Amino acid sequence: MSGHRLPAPHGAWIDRARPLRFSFNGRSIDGCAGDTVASALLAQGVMHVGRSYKLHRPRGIVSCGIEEPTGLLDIGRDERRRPGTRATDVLARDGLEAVSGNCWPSLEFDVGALTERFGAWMPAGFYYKTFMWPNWHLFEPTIRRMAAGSTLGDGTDPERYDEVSESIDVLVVGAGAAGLQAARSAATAGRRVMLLEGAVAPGGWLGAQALRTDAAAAAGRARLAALLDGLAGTGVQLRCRTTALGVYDHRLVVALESFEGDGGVLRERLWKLRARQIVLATGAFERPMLFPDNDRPGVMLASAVERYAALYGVACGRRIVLAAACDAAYGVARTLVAAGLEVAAIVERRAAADVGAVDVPAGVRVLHESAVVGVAGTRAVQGVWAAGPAGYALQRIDADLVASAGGHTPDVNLYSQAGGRLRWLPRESMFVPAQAVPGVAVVGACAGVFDLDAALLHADLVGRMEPGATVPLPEPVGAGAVPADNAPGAAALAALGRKPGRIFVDLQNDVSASDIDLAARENYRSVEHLKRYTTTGMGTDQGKTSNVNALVRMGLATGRTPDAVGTTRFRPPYKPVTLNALSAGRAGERYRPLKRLPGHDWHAARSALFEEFGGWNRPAAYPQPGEALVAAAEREAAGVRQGVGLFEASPLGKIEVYGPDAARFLDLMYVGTLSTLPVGGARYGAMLDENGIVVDDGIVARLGPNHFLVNTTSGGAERAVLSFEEWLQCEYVDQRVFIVPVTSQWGNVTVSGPQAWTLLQRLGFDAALAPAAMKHMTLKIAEHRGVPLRVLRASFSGELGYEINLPASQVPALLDELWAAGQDLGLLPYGVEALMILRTEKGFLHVGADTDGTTLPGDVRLARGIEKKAANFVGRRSLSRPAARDPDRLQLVGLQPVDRRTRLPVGAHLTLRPPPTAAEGYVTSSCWSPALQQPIALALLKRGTQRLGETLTAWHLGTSVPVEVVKTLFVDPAGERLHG
Amino acid sequence: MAELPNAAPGLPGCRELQGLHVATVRHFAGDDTAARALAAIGLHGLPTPGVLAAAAGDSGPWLAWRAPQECVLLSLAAAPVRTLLQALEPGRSETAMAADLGDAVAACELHGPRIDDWLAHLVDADAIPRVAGRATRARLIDVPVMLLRLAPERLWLLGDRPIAAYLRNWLAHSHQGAFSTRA
Repeated sequence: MSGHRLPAPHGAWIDRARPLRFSFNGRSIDGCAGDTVASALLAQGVMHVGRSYKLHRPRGIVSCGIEEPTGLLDIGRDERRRPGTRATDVLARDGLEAVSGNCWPSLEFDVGALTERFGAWMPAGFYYKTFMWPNWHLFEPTIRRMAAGSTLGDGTDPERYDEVSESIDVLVVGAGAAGLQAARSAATAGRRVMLLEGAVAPGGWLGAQALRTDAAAAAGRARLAALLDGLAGTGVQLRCRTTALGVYDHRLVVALESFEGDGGVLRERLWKLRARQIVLATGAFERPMLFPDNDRPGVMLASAVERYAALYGVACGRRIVLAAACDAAYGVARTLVAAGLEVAAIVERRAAADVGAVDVPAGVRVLHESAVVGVAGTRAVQGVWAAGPAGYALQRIDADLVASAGGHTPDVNLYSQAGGRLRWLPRESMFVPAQAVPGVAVVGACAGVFDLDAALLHADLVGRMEPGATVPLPEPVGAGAVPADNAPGAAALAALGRKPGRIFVDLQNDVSASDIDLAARENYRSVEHLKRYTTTGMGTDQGKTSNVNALVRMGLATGRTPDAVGTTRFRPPYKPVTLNALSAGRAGERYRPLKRLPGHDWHAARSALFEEFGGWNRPAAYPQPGEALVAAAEREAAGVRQGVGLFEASPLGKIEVYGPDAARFLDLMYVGTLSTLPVGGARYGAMLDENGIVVDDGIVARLGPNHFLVNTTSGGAERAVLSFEEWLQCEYVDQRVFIVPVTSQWGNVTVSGPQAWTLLQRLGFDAALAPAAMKHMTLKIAEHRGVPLRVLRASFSGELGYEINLPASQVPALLDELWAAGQDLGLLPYGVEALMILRTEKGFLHVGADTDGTTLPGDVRLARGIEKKAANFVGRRSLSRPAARDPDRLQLVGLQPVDRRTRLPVGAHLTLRPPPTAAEGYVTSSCWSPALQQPIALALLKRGTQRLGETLTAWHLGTSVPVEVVKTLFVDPAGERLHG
Repeated sequence: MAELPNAAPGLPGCRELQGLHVATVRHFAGDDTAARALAAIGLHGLPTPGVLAAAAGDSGPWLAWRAPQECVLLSLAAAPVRTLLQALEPGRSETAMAADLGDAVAACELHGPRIDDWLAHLVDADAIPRVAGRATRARLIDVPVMLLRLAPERLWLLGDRPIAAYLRNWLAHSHQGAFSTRA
């Protein structure tokens, strides 16, 4: 077994006294508290943990952090299952279940691995080229099944998530040496500082050099210890296991804190942090070397190998080859030697002259100007072939681990999100920040500063500066010379004497160097196109370890430097985040604010079936035992026509409009003329947007000379208020009008039916409200038992109707009173479904159902008076556009099935011939009419009003119903019933 | 409906405010009728943004800025609001008016220590009125609310009454998140 646990004291982050056990693909794995799933697996010698996405090649753990491209496991079971999670980012815990995704029937024997046999025929763009004929949809299901690498949890996630907001002076992201220094200096200067660290403990790279014995490392450790000691007492709020996901406008940083495995009830917390100054100390990722079969389990990043040894006490191998192109590799070699491991060789890509002043551990061979050209072993490394400069002599080196060190890539993701630009350093072969961003500073390796002294000096300066200031960028230093192209050359590969394996640039997406070359040959030039064509840089790691290699390769293939190729756009989230963390508790009753009626309990006591209508939880109907919703609605509608019904219309939008210009303003807002309304009068009004589209309607009543009560649709109240305010504040700024939304203040109990007044009379309502004394479409101020009322004679049912507006708290009492008084009148409560039947029978428009995003007032019989209206109104000019006068416009009509039996589905298309053919229109509302004892419907139909009597076919999901076009008024066309 | 959390030693609690009288006061620039009507109930001067003005004494009424042309009057007693509503009844002045919102508003009082820690789970940290005598409009999760700081350990939260159940649910949920787990 290659991987094994190093003896104590190695492993600063684990507690050997607290063993744990979890399962991996059903196999029991022992670990210690503090282990990640990855470190525990490596400690048990498990190198092969998954299969690659496209070719199903065996893959292992590559990194020791969130950049992990291949060690992706499904963590947890059932509803707690989290698919495709980085094993390097999950703390191991007792009882945890980890399963490899993307393999079947097992990790070791994966049928999908056959794919690799055809890998040569599956280059970049393979899908686009191959599966177009005869039809992509023939192949799509199979390909989607094959692509489903992981399985989602089933059921509702029972874990708890929340969010918290905090405002601080300075937010430092990254608790490595530079971040610690910046935080400490800022706090010392009196700032309120929060320091975020994604790992379980601060320290960054210095913390992982615990095993090195050289003087520089010792000095670094001493500096780190001093920084950590110095943090105490400064008031710096250090949050570990907290990763900044994104930087947004106004210095808002969103971060995710993980509590997983803590034993508490909270799994993750979303932080919304506002800072006067953001300091990015996010460090750098290690860049992998490119060589054939560089994806084999056991090929890892050198820095990861060092971190596992120092922090988790895990030796990832026993005999290690370092494939190197940077000075940092030599430090890793010292750690490994100090840990008692054998470093078989350092295969150095550079010439000796290009290597910095490094300290090569005694006994370690360095093969300069050499390259790894092959890896022996499929599921574990057994050795490498290295080709050297002297005639490209080939030598095999036995090893069970390849540690790859191809230089560093500053972690500029958040800096770029904040609007920063990048520049390419040709000597160090890396992108670094190119411009100072106000309020966002970069320090340490993130800024390209790899020299500890220089980094701390700059971080101290940044920490002491006034928050919000623009901080000059430091000069990058300390990374040494690194070749941009670290892949073996053609001569070296030829030395292998056989066809070399694939060189993978992006391990997560199985993108090889040849895929990049192919894209270049096919004339892809933009890096964004390259990404989408090859998928490089996509997925859960977003190319953290692969992007620079891909850009360099693209540059080589197209004769450009990497900065000419450019980088793709960095976007949040910085690392994958669960949707539940983002929703932060918005589930169940907290999912969204569903409004509750003042009379909710009254309706519930009468078996109301509640449904959501326009953001309100309203009774759809009041089904009797065993009665279906539709039957209940039809019964209720019939009851209203025959006797009297109670309906709570509290959600109707109510807006008081007051001021010397109120009348003039409402003329602008509505199609109709409202300024001519007498006090106590009420008028229907349709509201248009700038394009002349009908967006809302309602009744406007005049309460006083300068005082109006505007009723809007239930779902449109807030939108209408916003629209009024916008017009007042942006266009009609000279008008003096108050817009006072009172929807929640005033409840509405609507009494409808021929017996409506009889019922109200029994309650002692003033005779002035009697139908004889109060005309339809008038409003009177009244009082009932000391409660102020605004009684509106209006009707959406076509029956005698009283809309009684009263303080919302009084709604239940009035409902009770009416209920008690009306039993012998056949009084019944009716819900929204019955109301829809009643208004459809009357052909009353329901904005949003009988209109769409193109409906103009003339399409729905609301154009009357427009020509004569003197005042301007919103949308008027749009009504004169040619499109508004198109004779083929969809117009509202009535429909009835020819057989008078078949109910028409809403949405059914109206055609002259069987499909495929152009639709002439569609059904907008439909019901069985209890009054007519037949189905009826409303529809929008081309030239509809000119086609009365015509027979069409309504098509819906393969069924057809012959229909007859009729007028919209089905019941009481003369409108006699609503006058009582 | 979720139970509002009770205060415990070292932790804040919440109770529903029954009988709070609320009115919206609207006034155009240059108007003085609103100021005079408010002065009649002991409130002198219209508040500026972020300010919660209070009449002398602990029992209110209080007046909070809500918008350039609007402030909100709150009182535990009916008389001040009734007086103001009469004085600014629509029609009395062309430049100011008042409307009763007593039935429109759901109010609860957060009391005890660490109120701000709790609110940070519900609203943006910058929207928390941290000092007595301050008032803010805030977005609580997905709904608008007003926050009025009456005293260091006493804060009123006002929302739209139809979503009172939603507010209660979030108050209960966030209390647990803020104080029942590792923070």
